[in-house]
Amino acid sequence: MSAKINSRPPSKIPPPPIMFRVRYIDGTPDATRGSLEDLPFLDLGTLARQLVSRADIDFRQFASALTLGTMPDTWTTGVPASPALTAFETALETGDFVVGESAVSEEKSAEDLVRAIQSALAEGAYLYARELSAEGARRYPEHVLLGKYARVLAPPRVIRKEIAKKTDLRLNRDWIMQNGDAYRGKWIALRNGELRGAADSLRALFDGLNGDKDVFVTKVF
Amino acid sequence: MLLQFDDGTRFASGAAPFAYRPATADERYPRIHLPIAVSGFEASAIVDTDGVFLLCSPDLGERLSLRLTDALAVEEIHWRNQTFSGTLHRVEIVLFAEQGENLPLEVTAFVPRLQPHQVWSPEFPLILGMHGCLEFMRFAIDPTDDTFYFGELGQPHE
Repeated sequence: MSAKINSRPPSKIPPPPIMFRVRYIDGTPDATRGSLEDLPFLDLGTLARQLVSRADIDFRQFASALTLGTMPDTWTTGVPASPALTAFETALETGDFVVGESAVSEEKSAEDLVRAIQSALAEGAYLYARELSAEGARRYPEHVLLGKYARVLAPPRVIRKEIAKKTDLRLNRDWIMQNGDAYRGKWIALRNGELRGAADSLRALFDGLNGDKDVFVTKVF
Repeated sequence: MLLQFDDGTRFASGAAPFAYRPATADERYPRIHLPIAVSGFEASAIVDTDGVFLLCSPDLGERLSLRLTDALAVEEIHWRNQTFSGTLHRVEIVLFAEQGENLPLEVTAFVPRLQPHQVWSPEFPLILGMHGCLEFMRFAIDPTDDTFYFGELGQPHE
């Protein structure tokens, strides 16, 4: 095997080149076009979010079209042209999207950031929510909620602690593979490859175990 | 034997046997079921590289007694064309190893709060998603003996 060890996760697969235009329906005849392939991004959700935050167009429609590859030739938006839209147009024309640009504008309050994080979570832009929460916690270190968002949404990390080895992993796995069909839809508890209990619900399973917690639990299908 | 790079450094630090079975009553295709612990509770989790976070079924979330003071209410999380509200938590999990070393991790978990008309249709108690859970580790499977290899990311070795 030959592979390079990195301290970062592998880079994402770039999206296919998509040409699109933005047009406004407030009477302004301007249209613009660009290639998404040239833009910096972390993932499609984050990319779409960054684009839309500049253009004020509907994020969900945009993200959906981007993800499904159904980007229309002409993207129509009901909002009037604004400085953000102008910047968006300029960036599209020049390809001048700044890599690593702060996701948080200087004037955003802590409450603005909390709302933006919640909005990003609701829209499925999880990387953007992580980015916002980390930057929000840096900018407002005394803000309890931003700190909590930053902690909860932080990247996973390895914990340095000793955990006792389990010796019955294979025994339990083999029991499920051999006997699972007879318990489909049931919660079961195993230890050392032996069935300790079975029930229709997790609560009923533990009620039947009489305080025995040293078991491996699963639902079988 | 654990997997290695050409220069002898380890790709994986641990390996565990996985069960290969469907994860819901309606599924026809098998999934990878791994033995893990969540906040000390030992249970089976399915691997979902298309998913996000560690999804805990509502009854397991209740059983884990995750501290509500550390919870973040979330109005919408999308999973397989469904929308759930619930809470996000930071939890400790352990990927148990039969060979090598266990891998303890701190990850983001989501516990749905079901509305009266909703059911937890994934049915399975724990789902290991990519974002917020598996994204910063190596993993590989050997389907010839149903072994799941895992390891933390190391230092550059070139």
